[in-house]
Amino acid sequence: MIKILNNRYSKIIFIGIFIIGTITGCKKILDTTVDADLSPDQVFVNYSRILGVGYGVYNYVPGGFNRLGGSLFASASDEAEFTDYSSSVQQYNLGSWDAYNNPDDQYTQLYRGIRGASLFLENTTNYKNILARDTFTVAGKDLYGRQVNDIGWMRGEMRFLRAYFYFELVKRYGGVPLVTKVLNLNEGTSMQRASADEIFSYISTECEAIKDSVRVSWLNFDNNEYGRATKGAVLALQSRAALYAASPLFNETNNKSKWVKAAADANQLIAMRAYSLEANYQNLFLAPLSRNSTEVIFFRHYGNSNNMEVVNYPIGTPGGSSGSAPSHNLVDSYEKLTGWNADAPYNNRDPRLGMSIVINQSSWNGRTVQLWEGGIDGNGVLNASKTGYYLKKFLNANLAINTNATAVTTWIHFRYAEILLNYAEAMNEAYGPNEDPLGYGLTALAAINQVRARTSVRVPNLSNMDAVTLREKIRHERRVELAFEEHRFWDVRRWKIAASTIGAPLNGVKVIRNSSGQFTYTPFVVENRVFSDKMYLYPIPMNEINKSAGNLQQNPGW
Amino acid sequence: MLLKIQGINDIVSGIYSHFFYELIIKIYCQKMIKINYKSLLILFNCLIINIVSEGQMNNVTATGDTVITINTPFVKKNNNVVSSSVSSINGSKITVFPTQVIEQSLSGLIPGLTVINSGVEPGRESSILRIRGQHSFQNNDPLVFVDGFETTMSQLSVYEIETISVLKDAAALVPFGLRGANGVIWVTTKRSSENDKLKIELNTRTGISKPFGLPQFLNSYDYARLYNEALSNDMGTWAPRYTEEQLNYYKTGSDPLFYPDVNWQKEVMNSTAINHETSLIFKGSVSNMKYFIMLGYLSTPKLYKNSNEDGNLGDKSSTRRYNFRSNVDVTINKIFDASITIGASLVNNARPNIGSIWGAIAATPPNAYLPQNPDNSWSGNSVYNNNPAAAVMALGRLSNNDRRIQTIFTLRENLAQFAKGLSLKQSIGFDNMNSVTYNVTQNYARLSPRKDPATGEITYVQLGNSVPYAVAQGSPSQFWRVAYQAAINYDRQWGGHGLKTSVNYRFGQQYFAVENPPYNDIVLSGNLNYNFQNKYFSEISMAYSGSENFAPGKRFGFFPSIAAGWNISEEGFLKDVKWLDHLKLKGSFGIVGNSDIGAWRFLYKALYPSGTSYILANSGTRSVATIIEGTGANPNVTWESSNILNLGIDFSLFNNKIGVIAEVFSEKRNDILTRRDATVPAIIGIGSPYENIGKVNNKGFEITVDWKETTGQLKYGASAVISMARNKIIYQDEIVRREDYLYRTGKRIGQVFALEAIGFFQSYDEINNPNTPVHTFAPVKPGDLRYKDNNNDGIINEEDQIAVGYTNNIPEITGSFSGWMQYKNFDLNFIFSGMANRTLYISGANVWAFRDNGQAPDMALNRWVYYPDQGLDTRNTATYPRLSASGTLNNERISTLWLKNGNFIRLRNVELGYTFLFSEKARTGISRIRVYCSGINLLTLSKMGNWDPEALPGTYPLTRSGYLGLNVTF
Repeated sequence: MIKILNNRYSKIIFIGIFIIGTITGCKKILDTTVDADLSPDQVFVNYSRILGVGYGVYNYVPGGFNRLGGSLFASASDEAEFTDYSSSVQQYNLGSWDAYNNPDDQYTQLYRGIRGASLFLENTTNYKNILARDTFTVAGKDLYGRQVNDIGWMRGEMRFLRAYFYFELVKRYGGVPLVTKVLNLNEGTSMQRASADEIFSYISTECEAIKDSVRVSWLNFDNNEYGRATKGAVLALQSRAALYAASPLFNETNNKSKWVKAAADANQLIAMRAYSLEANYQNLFLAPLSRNSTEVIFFRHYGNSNNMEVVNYPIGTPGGSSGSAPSHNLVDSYEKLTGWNADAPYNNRDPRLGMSIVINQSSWNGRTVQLWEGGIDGNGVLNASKTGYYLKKFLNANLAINTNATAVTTWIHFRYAEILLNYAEAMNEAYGPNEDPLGYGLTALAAINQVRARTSVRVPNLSNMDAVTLREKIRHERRVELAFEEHRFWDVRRWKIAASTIGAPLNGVKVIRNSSGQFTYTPFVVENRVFSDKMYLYPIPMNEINKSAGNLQQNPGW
Repeated sequence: MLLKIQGINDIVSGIYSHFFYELIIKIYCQKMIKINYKSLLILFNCLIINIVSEGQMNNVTATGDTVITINTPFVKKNNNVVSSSVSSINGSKITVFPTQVIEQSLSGLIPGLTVINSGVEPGRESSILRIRGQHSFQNNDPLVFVDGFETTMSQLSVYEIETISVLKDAAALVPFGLRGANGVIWVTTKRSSENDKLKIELNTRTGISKPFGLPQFLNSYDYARLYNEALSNDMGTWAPRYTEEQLNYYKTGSDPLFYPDVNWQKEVMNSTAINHETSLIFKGSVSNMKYFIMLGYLSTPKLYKNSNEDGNLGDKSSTRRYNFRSNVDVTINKIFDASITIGASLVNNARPNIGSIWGAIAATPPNAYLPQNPDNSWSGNSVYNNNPAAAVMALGRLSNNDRRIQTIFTLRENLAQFAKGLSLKQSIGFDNMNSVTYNVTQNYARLSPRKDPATGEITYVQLGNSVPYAVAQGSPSQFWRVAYQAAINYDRQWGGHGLKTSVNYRFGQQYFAVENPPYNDIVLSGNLNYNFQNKYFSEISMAYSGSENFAPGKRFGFFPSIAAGWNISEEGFLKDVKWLDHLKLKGSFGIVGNSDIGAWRFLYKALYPSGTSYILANSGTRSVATIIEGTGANPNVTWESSNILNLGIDFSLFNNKIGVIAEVFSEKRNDILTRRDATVPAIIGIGSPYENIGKVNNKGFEITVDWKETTGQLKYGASAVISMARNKIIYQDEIVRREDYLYRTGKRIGQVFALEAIGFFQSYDEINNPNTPVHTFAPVKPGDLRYKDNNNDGIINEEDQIAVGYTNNIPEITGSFSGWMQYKNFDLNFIFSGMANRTLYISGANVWAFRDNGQAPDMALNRWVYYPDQGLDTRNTATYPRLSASGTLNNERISTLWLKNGNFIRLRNVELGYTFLFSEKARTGISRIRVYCSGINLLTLSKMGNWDPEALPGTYPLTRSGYLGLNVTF
């Protein structure tokens, strides 16, 4: 180096080049990029990336299981009490939730899903030209045809999901701004809330429009894609949305035509004759039936997990932590059948009780559960159930959670029994218990009796009764049949009976074993629950109200 | 451009290999680790001969009087003509600290620099550095330059530091363009500046250190006694777990196998460690060449115990660093000077194979088991699976070997032949870090004793099997930096006028990981400094600076500053004032940027990252990849800009006996990156993009007072430094909050918000009183903390948290007070430093008793308890809430009970020395020997009780140490 520089002229030239080279090069130096993430023009360019965007939108469907503060959402209603006092789910029970702090606030998430779906739709309008077309070979032609079909179906699924997101919004908040395109950042502030009716109408119109542009079934067509939305899912959403739209919360004038529509929408799905009730009620919620039973319409896989068991197994089972303990309010509503007597209050009950709830002295986790005071699962043990019951629904009976064993889990969004009950409720309200003026082939009474006659359940058929009595029976049937499935919290709201149900004290039973080994069960109040009228609808998040410059009206009472 | 840089790389790496690698490899291969001074000397001689012969081979001639200064981006100026704010400390001042990393010794010493030592375990140190406090709620880290090139300073030895400067105001920071706003720490290393003959310095010291500020846990008897209360509190009735008989065993210690009482800290830590540091320096000049060469060795073993029988695992507590420096300045001819600056360090660091031994200690109560059973097997059971002693001694060893090399090649060209005072400087710097990990892991069988109640026979239950050691070499991690700098300087004096100008160019690349593109930055800066008769100064600086983080067309910014000064003492009317030696006023204003704005790089681009996978298929387990739209792009994203006003006064009085430098500053930081969470509605359906909308104001002052006195043979002096900076968030588009007092805007960055603990619930009557607010964190019981309902809504929740105290951990005020004294050959030095306006939130297993079945701290003795039948009643004296065996969510949350005043003053160093002077002609060649003894961290005054206010429990403790040292000059 030093030698080179000994020549004075070469030195100066060398240095000059150095500086000039450095400065002229500088603008380009700053053009760097990270390869890991895609830029906008690299996304909607081929089959697999387009599909990836579509799959991503599925993630915004609110999940199930222990989704709220580690608890089942059921613990926010009169179905259960979550053992961990610090969980955010307790805020609903204490009434300490509001527009600033709402644990189940899905406003932002759902609009993200809506944007994702719109983005997909807007960027795939000419998807047939985007997909690589190789139609020279037979295989290439087939592949192209399959991909064109697939993206076509996915476009339908995006519209389904967007409608589903609006349903999840409207049931929580009532009417919300109806956004059906990708908005620029400055476009949102001026938007106002559409009415709940407009949202329901949008959902119905969308479902009607796309029901034949999604697949009827993925099973045995492409098992790898099993889990994507189908025609059944579209019609099930339409049915549930129509039922909500007709319910007192959203149908204050009791407009009969809304019930008529709800009945017709439920019938559309029943008329597919594609779904039927699963014989085994308890196993319906466990793999593999939870995903491939003929009763299951739309669901979400959660892969291998033991979270439900770890959270909800009784405290006396190693690794269990009590979790969502079913309430006596719910237990009490399982029908008492012929032969029932007060000395053995859990015998001769609707069989769904034993299939959904762990009661004292029952066999569970390979042992007999000791729910009495002094028993290993009972009051007196730290973090034992506060209600005298444990959850059984959704749980595998003997998962070795202490060695971290797992099982495949699937959350069911829609199943056929719900549709039958939707139908029964709508038919009863529209026409009465035993009427079928449009010739659907099924009356309200017959529909509910189908659910009650499930092979493993078989509670006695309901005989003819008036519409008001049947209304109560249907409400009761939904409570029992759909327990813990995230229906109760919304059902009592749409029926406008929340104050007397989830607002009533939550009860448990004190289980005492006397010296002769006999048990007495004494109901007691576990928790006084708080419900006020404003809670029929969630508040719009305060932050959003403030950002809207007066364009968003808050729900009454908040 | 890149190719050209790499071309130079080849040339310089040639120099590397010649001068350096060879030596390092030699040292390493020959296992010089067991320091052998003789062979070191031989190596050094080889090296010097090497360098000298290199010079002679090239027949260079010396011009003799050229002082090579390193290439700094700001013109190095006589302090009297500087109007910018730069504070420095001489390297000799910090050689008293035998620390592994230099920044940990700087606390309080340099005006404007705050150092918070967040980790003090040797080999795993971490510090938070702040210059003039916090400026932004994004990144506040200053830049660190060593010898003009960006790097870190933790790898340096204290003996190679010439000065450490802190650049604070706009006039000093503008040359760093859009990267300078958080301040710059500017370190220079020693060079040989005189035309001396060879001078050799040997510095060596050995010390013993002892931990302090360790958490104090209850012994087994108190633990068991309090556990009975805790369990009873949970059950709602007196339900002891330990019987009186069992308590008595704990009290008497008569059955240690079944009723042990173990102080785990003593089991895992030695009570002392021996530290050693040696450095050997050669400096001087040979014909046209000056050299400063140093070899340093520092050993600061950790306190972890090694067991006797794990020879295979080697030493699990060693921390050794080897430093090497060769700073060579060559005068080539009348036009050219060249410098080669090489600094390197090797760190060999070993530690036990456990993530946090302090966590394991806090989780294992004193009565869990003896560390080892009588047959020397390790104890353990399923509840206390992580035997702390075994974790240190029987799980194996993790080690890392880090190599740092910074090499700078500088060429300086005197262009006086074209114009007098014109010169050109160019430098290329390389900085390279390479770390290799090497892990030896093993496991042990845990045995717990059982006694047959009938026969009394003792058997052992085994949990897990012992796993023999396995060796794994980790993948190396590395980063490197390359930068090129050029400066044209023009420096003239005529008449009463002085003019200095410079134009600087810098281009830097930083590679942090192989897959990432390098971080590039460019600055072109100019500086014009004019003074008239050394009375009036003015300086204009400007920089045009670019970063790739921003959109094309928005990458370059212009940063100007203006500064002026007035040496009043040079004016005629003050010249005759005897007691005033010097008085100067100065001020500066300018705009600097910070391109390290937070979030991620390339915010201007819309990106589609992969999202959470979704599960499909009949199996129920097939994950499919998803693509989601990223946070919205902001094509206008830009750097933070900082308007800094700085005013200062310097004066010295009474024959320079007292010198004062005082400065005040006001900084307005604009364009801080934040999201419009309070503006963009959620129905857009996308995270609002990061925008440059945040604003923070930061104000403060720094005062340095120096005082020195001479009385006969006694010379003494003292200096005090105090720095203060207070910031306030002006705007951050904060979300709507229900109560005014909840807003973070208008408060300090990181302001602590906490519940106000107003006492303990004394009874259920008090809890159930309708006027008592409902505590919503958990059902409360007597003895639980009662909080103040600040919004009077009858509910205690997080919305009752109010701003209390200051920012957690980071102080507003730092300072130091140091003194020195010399009498004949004796010298005495001391340094106090401290922090104030600082809040500490204490939490976790070291605070909350029985958390996760773990230990109970001694403060739990002051718990609230009321069992009249057991004679327990502390209702009126309690300072700690009731105990619980399962945790109490009501009490274990941030409240004023757990906030501590973090102010402290520490006597960081005292040193007493005696110097023997020898005549030049002495046969030994030794000219000077100084022996000294010193004490480090001897005294700490704080309100933290037993705890240390810097190294909080749950982290490696600070040590107090005593050293004996020797400085020999040949």
